[in-house]
Amino acid sequence: MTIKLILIALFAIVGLVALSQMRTARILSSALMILCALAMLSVLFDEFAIRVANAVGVGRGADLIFYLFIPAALLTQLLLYLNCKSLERSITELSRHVALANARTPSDN
Amino acid sequence: MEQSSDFGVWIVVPAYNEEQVVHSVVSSLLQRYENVVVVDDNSQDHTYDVLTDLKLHLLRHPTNLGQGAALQTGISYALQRGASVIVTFDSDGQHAVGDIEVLCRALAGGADVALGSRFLGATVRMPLLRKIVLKIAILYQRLTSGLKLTDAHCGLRAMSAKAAKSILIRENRMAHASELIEQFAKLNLRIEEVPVTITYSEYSLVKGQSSLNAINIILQLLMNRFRK
Repeated sequence: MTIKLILIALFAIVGLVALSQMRTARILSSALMILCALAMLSVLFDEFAIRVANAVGVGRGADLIFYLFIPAALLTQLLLYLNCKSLERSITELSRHVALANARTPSDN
Repeated sequence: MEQSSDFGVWIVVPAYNEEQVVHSVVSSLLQRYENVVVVDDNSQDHTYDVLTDLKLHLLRHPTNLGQGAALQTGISYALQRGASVIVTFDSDGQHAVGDIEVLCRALAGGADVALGSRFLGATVRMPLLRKIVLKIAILYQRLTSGLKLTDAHCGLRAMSAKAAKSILIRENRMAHASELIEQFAKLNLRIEEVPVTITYSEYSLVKGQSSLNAINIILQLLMNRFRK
């Protein structure tokens, strides 16, 4: 039973962190909070996860969660990649601007 | 017209960690051309410092971005200054200054873009592996852009101001050569290939990109295709 307490505490922390970021990333925070709520529910009532798992043709609730975790992790990576790309573009524009503004011309010599 | 005189010709030289050779490369360019822009891509060595005694346009990225980004910065600068022809020229001494005139002649003859081709021209001491990789790159280029080119990744090229204004290099790193050709092809610009000589010195081989990097380039281009 200790594991139930630990898991609930951890999910509660993640949920609170998500709540604190509500202003900057509303969709992501909401999604994360819903996920945490579902996670806590399935920890408290393990039959819940088992029933859902059986309904979609998976034997154990824990397996279902593991399978769902894979596409979720991939999606996160993709979003992070796109985010990095757009950040890279901003840095490029910024650097270009700085380089153009500080150009040394032949008359500077 | 201005195109045939050297006055409107701007040479863009991207440079990264080239303190050993960049001075002599730029000096030889300045003997023939008045407008030379070097974009130092935040070199870790003294590339910027060794150039300050020359009468050139010297820009420096505040952070390292890659050759594609350096080229775009140089092109933007040259356009701001009213360039009518923009030539891109590598800083490692592989290219011959004399070839620029041949490229410009192709533009004067009506082409929008003149691409240097080492396979139409000559190569000095090209390693076999490099040759194989380049041939594969050319095949890829043919399949993706539909253009029948003999060389895909030559850094020596010339373009009219009109062509330069209509492109935007977004591949910061090495995939920019293919990206440029794809953009030229999409815009239906008149492209001409011109034979040029590429000299592979020991220095340029060590400094230049490894042939293995070709895999990287293809991956980057595919990723971008997927994103669009």
